[in-house]
Amino acid sequence: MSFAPVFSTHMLPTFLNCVKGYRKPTILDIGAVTGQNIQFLLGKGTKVYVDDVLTGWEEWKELGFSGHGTPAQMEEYLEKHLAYPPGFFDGILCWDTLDAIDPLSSRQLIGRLYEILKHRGTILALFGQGARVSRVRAKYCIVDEGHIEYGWTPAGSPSDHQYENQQIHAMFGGFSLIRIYLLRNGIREILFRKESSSAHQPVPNSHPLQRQGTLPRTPSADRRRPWLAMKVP
Amino acid sequence: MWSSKLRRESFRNKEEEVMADKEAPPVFPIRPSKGMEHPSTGTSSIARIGRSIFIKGELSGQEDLTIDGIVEGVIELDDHNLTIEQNARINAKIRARNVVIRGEVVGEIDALERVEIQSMGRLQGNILSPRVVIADAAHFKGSVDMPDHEPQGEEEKEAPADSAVAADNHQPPLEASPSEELIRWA
Repeated sequence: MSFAPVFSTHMLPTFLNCVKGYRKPTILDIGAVTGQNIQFLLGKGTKVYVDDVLTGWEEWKELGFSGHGTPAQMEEYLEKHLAYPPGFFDGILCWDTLDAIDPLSSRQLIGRLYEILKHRGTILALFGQGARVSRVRAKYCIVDEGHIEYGWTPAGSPSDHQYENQQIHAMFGGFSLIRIYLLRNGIREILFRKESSSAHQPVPNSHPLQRQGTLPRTPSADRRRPWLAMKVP
Repeated sequence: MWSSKLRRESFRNKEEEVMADKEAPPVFPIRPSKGMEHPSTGTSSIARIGRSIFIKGELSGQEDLTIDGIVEGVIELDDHNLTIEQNARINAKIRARNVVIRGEVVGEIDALERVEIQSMGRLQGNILSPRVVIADAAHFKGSVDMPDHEPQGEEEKEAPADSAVAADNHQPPLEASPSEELIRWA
């Protein structure tokens, strides 16, 4: 018997409408793995890829790194674990993954998601109302097209990030905003769409090491991520 | 004379026997089927690969199978069930009716009915199955696809330009609460 609260969702139906224009949409879910979501998305005629980025990142850090992980480590993690071809997905369910990652790593992750998303592909992201102090993270289970059950799952480390709308807008620099919806429970549901490459604005990179040009990078990463190679004045 | 009559009668009898043989329905040997109990032990026929067994190559069979050891290669059970126990380490391409995972699996799974990853199970690979069940603490990374699922009445589009407009017109099933507000960025 489940006692998890169920809330309405306003952006999930919009997200599904955006991707259902394709014959067999390919969707990537980077949130906590739930069979319920997979079954729901399969029922919509999609092909589902599941990749719990946050759990993978926590495990990656435990392998030998300490602290929050450096940008180079995040870059290496994304190279190895989110290694999908460019323009592969029609839609990405981000859920609240970005809430649990530090701002710079979030920008790196968004840059990676931008690459693997198709032109005019859609991202659904949720942002919470405040910092998460306990070692749990939200687990979103789709009940039906209009409702999401909010469960909890253990997390490696607490999150202390709370993003303002303008920060989120800046982080998703290469995307256009379709719609943002503030739910009664304080969760912001935001839908972004990848625009054409000409309209693409590089994700701003404000890390001091990158400003100094001392952040180690691989040449292949530079080719695929022009904003990393960009000199920030 | 008696002898020739007897010979004729015996010949007629043999001819009738041959005719009877031709008309008799064919007899097929009894083969064990799915879920059938073993005649001597009374248990259902499930083969088991123990935890100390290591198999590299192609594994196929016509009965249910439980693996607790290490298997690398191909596992083909077609119409039968596969259970991968906690100690099992599988790196294989799997085809079965139902697959239950409690151990570690790397590879592709093609299941006719269902794939279930239980709480201790870990799967890295692609699933082709109409039904997938994943427990809370299970680990899964890969793709899931439903075989032969064709959405009807929809044609492929390269870029759904109007989808966002259509999406904007979509009304969610629940009425918006008064305290929920819609925010738009210009």
